[in-house]
Amino acid sequence: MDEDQLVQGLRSQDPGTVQELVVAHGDRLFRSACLLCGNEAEAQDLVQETFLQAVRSANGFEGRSSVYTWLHGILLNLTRHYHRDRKRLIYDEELAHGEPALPDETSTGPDVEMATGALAKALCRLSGPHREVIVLRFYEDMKIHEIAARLGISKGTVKSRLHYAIAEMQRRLPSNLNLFSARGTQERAMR
Amino acid sequence: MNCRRFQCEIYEFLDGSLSPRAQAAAERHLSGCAACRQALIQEQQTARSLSDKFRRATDSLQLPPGFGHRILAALVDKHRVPSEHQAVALFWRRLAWPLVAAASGLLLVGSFFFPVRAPGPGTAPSHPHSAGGEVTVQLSYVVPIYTFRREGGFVIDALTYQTNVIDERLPAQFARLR
Repeated sequence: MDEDQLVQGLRSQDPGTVQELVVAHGDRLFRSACLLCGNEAEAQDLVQETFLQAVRSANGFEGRSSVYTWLHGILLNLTRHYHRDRKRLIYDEELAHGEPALPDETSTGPDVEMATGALAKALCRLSGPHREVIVLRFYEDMKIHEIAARLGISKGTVKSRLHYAIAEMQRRLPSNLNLFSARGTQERAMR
Repeated sequence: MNCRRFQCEIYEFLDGSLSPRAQAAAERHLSGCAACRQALIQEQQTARSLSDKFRRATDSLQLPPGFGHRILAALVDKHRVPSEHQAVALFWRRLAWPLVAAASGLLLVGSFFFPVRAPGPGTAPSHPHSAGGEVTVQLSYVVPIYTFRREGGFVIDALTYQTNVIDERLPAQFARLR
């Protein structure tokens, strides 16, 4: 089944098409969702809601991008809501205890199943906007102008977020896992 | 092109999305600048390393078996007709705003015609009806009416509005409103 047929099937809410779409793109979306939100159970919910929204909005899909790009756009929007809600929860917790809540690695950190836990943890400590650009750039292999268009921000903002996010991850990673150890030294040397 | 400019456009250079002219200028600069060549190599290594680590971190992750059925079930669930209890809850939720609007409207009309005044010191309470002369006014207000009936296994609800008009005679002190 090609992409046009998939979209047609989605518009008619054909169960077979929904299944096929899940088989074709489900795992890839799920992995991206795991990196974006850092939690497997919530990533599953996000992917489920992505497919539900895709079915509901299939009539609006004009075929200007691939189906995966379209689905990933929906996922990204949902993840932003997820981050907003999570931020609200953290804020409430601060109010309740009268002091800033420290990030809880066990409850909000990445799933322990993730193979490179340190990297995932460093990713999870980034803010939503910084995590988005890292995942889009290095997991989804998107170009700067594509990320800018997807997020509705300027290319300059994408680059500055990337720069900050990489430096922040570098700072948080244990030295034995530091993937870009020469970078900081070089930057300091150039100043 | 200088070092600052090159490093500013290093991502676009890696993407191959610079204009042909800018690309040529960047390559010319690179051929004579060891620091920028080093920065480019560093950037490529970072990208490769991160991509590789992310893939290795997520390669084993898969949606659970039957996830497609879970989505289909959720789809069906969203289209399901609400139960009687849910229908009643839905009705009250739908009715809440019209009720608030109607109550606010009545309060507004009421406060206009019957303002609350605190009696001043040493003054006798006012007796509007004792003043001579009256004006006739028509007061209209909206009443939301909710009905629901059962048809087979379904509960069908309907929301209608009825406008009531009453004639009232008000004391002469309101005559200036004419």
